[in-house]
Amino acid sequence: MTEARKRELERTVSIIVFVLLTLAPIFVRSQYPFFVLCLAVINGIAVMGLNFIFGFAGQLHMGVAAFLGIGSYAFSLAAVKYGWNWWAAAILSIIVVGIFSLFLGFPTLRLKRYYLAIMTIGFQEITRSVLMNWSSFTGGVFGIQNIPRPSLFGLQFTDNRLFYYLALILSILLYLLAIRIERSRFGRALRAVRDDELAAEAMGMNSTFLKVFAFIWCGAYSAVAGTLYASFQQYVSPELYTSAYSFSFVSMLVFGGIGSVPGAVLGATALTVLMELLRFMKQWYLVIYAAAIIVIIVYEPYGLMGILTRMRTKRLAAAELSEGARDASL
Amino acid sequence: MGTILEVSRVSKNFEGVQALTNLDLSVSEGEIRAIIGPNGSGKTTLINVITGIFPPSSGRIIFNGEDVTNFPAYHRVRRGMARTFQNLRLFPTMSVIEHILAAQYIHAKVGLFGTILPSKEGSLEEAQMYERAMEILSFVDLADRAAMPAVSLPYGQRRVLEIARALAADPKIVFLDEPAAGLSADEINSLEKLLRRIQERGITICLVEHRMMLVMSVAEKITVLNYGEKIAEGPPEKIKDDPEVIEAYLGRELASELDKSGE
Repeated sequence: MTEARKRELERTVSIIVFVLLTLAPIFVRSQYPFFVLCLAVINGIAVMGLNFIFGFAGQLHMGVAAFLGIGSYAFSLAAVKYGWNWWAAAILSIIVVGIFSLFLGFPTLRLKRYYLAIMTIGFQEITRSVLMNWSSFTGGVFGIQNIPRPSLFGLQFTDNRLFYYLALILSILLYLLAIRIERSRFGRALRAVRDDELAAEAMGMNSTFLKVFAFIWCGAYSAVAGTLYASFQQYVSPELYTSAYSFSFVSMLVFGGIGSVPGAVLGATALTVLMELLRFMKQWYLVIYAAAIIVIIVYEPYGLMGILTRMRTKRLAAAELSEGARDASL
Repeated sequence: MGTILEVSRVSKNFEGVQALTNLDLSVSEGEIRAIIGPNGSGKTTLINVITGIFPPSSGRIIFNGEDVTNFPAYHRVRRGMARTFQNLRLFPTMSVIEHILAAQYIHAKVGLFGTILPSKEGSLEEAQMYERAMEILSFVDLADRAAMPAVSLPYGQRRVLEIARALAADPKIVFLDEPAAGLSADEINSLEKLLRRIQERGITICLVEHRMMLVMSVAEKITVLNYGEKIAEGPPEKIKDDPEVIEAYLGRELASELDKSGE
């Protein structure tokens, strides 16, 4: 499939997904399903972030929830404990997570292969532990309450629906930003590092810098997701940011299409909704969930986007063939 | 023509295995130099040390008058060194032109903000990169394959793409590690013409090679290694008749190969 066709498919998928997400609140009236919808958008932002480091740079990251949690807490503490303006607190959360990403990423990503995965598994546990036990600062098990909603030019986002659209608009902007990075020379360099780090270095790329660069972007997106989550629920607690949540982001990306920005959003939306639809099965939902992931990995490693790409390629090829047959018969 | 590369008393020891011993090498700007020697003589190790894949145990590498011994590999590339790999290290998910575009990363001038936010300089630079990429692909005769996935190319063209990718870094010297491996006689002829075209562009070429046919016709000077030491150095005519060189290889085999290419 040529580059132009690939972009066309991406544009089509992203438009469909975002239009559906825009119209969804009309059909989703009750509170809990609406929460799931909003969670889908927030997860979408986090998975787009994961895509930078895992999709583009090829480094497995098993601690996105930890960074999301740090973002949530940085934002919440600033807004509630220190009375910061919502937007200032949001920016603070991005900076804090960015700093964590830099200081954790740099020593780890200097190494090749899978050390980021190992470090992030450990960091995930440490983070949850610290959030839980440093009660004097974080509020411990009780978490933080009364987290404010934003206001913009006098408009208060107290209404859930209004807040949802704010999150959706941010999600769309972050989507466009991710696409621009993907198509830039940085995106190409990241893919080179993913495909063959040694060859990339032999081409003059500082692979450590590039990996840390991707990792910091992941952190920034996670922070935004964390801020939105905290502000939507207006309550955070350490129990939310678990390794299971971290892993679910990885499975959302793999399911939707690793390396693909629309795939990230698609996977996050699909699996967030699926997880909730299967909630009636209690713990057995994991069986279906795991089965869906296994099927994807075995049959289409590039996830839903991979399936759509294949379908489109087949249709294009079939169209060309029938044109050829028609020309031949003339 | 000045000296572009000076390898000074370089040794490399891998936990007891002495791969290189006190090697001295001096390459002139614009030269086509061949490094030959039996398997295991340290040719690829030498290239790896020069290009920065690993540091020497002792000795210095002076490139363009600058001591690059402690520079990481990617820094040396920015100084003007480029290389290809013996076993081909192409990018499995990229197309032909994407390889060349990716390689231009180091020479881009527009910073992060100019690239990711829509800007005139950013778009201009992207367009220039595309143009330059197509120019390089035309130079190596791969222009018609630009959009194809690199892995779909036949072997001979993959080797050419690997070279083109090295050229995209705009190097002053390029190290080719067995560029003729697995090529047919016709393909070697094309490769020879390509090497001369590269030399015409002012790029110094240093090639590690086993195929004597190519070495004898294209190299201006040959350095011979054996067991990590330099055993001979000189123009092809002199090397061809050097008894130590002939002995280092499997005697008869090399002698007959050299005889054939001498005709």
